Amino acid sequence: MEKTVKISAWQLMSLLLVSRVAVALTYTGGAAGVAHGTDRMASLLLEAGLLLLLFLPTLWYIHAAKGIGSLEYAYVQFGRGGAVVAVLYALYCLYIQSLDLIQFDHFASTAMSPDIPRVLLCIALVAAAFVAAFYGLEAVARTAAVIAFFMVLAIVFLGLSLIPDMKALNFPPLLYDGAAPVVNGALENLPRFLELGVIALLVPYVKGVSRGYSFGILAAAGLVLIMQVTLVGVLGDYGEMVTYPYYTAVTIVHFSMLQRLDILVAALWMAGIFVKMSFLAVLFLGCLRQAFGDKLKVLYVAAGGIAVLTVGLLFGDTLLAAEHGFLWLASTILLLLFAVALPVVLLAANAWRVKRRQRKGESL
Amino acid sequence: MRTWFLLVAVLLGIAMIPSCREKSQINNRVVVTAVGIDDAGEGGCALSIQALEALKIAGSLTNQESNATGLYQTQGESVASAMKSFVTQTGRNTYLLQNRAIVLSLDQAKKQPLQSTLDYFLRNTESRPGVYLAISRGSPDEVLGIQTSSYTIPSEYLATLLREGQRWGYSAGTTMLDAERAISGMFDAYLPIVRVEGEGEDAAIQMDGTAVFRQGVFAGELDAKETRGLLFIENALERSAFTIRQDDGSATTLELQSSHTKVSVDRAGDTAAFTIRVTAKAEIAEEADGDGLKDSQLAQINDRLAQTIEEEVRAAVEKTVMEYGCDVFGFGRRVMQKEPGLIRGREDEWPEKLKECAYHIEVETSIRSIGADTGADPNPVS
Repeated sequence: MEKTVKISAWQLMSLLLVSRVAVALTYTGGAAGVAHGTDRMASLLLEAGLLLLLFLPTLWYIHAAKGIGSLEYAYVQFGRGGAVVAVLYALYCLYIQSLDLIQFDHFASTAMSPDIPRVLLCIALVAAAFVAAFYGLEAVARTAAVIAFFMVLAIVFLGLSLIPDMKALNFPPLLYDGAAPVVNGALENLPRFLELGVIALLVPYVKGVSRGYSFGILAAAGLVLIMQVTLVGVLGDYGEMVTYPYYTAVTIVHFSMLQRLDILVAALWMAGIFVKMSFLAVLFLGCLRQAFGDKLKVLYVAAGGIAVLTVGLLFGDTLLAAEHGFLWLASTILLLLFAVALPVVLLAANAWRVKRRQRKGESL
Repeated sequence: MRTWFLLVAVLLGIAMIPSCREKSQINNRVVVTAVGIDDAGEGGCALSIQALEALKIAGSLTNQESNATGLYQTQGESVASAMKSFVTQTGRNTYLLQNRAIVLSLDQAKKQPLQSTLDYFLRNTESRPGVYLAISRGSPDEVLGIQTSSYTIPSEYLATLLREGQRWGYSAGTTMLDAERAISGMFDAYLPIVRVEGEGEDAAIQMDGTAVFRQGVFAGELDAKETRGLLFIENALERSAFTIRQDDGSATTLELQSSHTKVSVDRAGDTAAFTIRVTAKAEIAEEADGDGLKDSQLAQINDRLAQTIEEEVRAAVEKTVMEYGCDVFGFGRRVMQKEPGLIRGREDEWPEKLKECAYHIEVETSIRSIGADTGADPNPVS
């Protein structure tokens, strides 16, 4: 990650939008999900609100750090101990990528085609994403902007094409079981946006981080809401009985002579997952380069890719079974650690350091 | 290094392209165009598989055969095992993505709940929600084995018949998506019934009412008029023909141009009152008396049309709700949407409770025109 590189707020918005929608395309609410149908629409809005609230510590950090990224800030506070923060960030990126790979593997082999060579497909995706890390944040952000454009276009087009198949009767009443499913649904969704944890890292590389993040959250919420309206309008309560409801809903899309447009979803989803994994691979590489230097960057990338593949392919089924239990808990804790605790700890360490130096009469 | 990575990625990509990986020939695959499921007694179920013969569609259009499909029979303890035994018998894999219709025999529909019969197709990634469903009065192979000169693939004929049948009010065109929605418990399912009339080249598929289900279990049948009443309530009717008899005995045929139905729910004590409001527009298609029709008679014809529609709608409600205890119209769901307090916590009681509800049917019809004929008296012959 070169410090001279700067991406715009809109590019950050595109990165976050693509990442969130890629996850939503393979949302496996099903029987384990807590908010369904219309309630899930409300929970998506609540989730966006919660994500904006969770951004407050990072926002506070952004204002206090005056353009310094959290990693550089950690080095200022802890000296060489900053390398620990760099490694933690790198592991956090690998964790998110592993979760994405697990979902990718499952969706490709169950919803698209059981005959698909899933191991090869996963290797190709991870290899492409980690190679993209060498091209840097700017290249990934530019790709994200293009994909975000097509993603919005495709989701709106699919939604409009499915209007004749939608029925008002398919929408269950809002808050039929009270407000609990809406709140629980928002909490369930919260750790699907783990990118929030790396926003502080991006401060020096984005012109307008706060604006990019806020618009990213709102745009993603809007787009996922369109997807939810589409799938509930088409499938009704049956959406709760299928593993990938949005994909199931779009399998019936036909527009004029165009049929079987579910391929559009599969293509968008692959592009989205690729962008998300590339974005995180860029950050992963940037963190390790900062901690251990530039010489072994190929090794970092290779080790990262192998780690993600190992977790995704060997432990994928086990972890997926714990998606709504252990994995949710682990992801939530990590999200809170990186999005809330880390900025607060860094600012507290700075305050303590300043106070100590003031007491000693040293210059800052 | 980047070049090496890119090279590996490209090679992996190529390795995954099915045409590079797949070694099987097209005639090694059975492209299924329709599936028939029949009751095989203790033996489970018998499948009739109408499949496209790849070699029959090879070459130019003029060289292709009139029927490009073959009909295969197989049997198994379940649909999945019958499919698998078909593969082991023929050595060819089935390909369901092009399947257009699934036909169940009436015996099979009575024997096994709909969800169990269709489960294989609900789970299969190749199966699509747009597949048409029907019930055959006889064996499904009679329906699937029918020859038609209009279609190279007979299942296209069946799918067109079911789709157009619904548009014209002759049959309830049900797709897998409708069945999936019904299986989720939002409402009960209904499937069109078909039968084959005639033999050999004269054989044709006829619509023969509608089968209705209660929680997936066969409950009974609706006749042609009740089926049209059902389609009115479902807002699924686009065109239809009504022959109305006037007081003087003359018959006038009206063609429905458009119809819209709105169902509203009101609380009525512990139950609900449903108002089914049908608005329909029609025009005169034909009258038996030639030039005898006058504008002054339109009011009477209009009243008769409204009365006919009301009778059909009422018959559909009475048969499905009162007699069979089915909720094919999603009345329970409507209560849930408009009056959730009535149903919350007592969802299981509501299918029976629907019998206690009031159903008001209001029909408003208008006859747009009497066609190109003005109805003016002919000039007296001098």
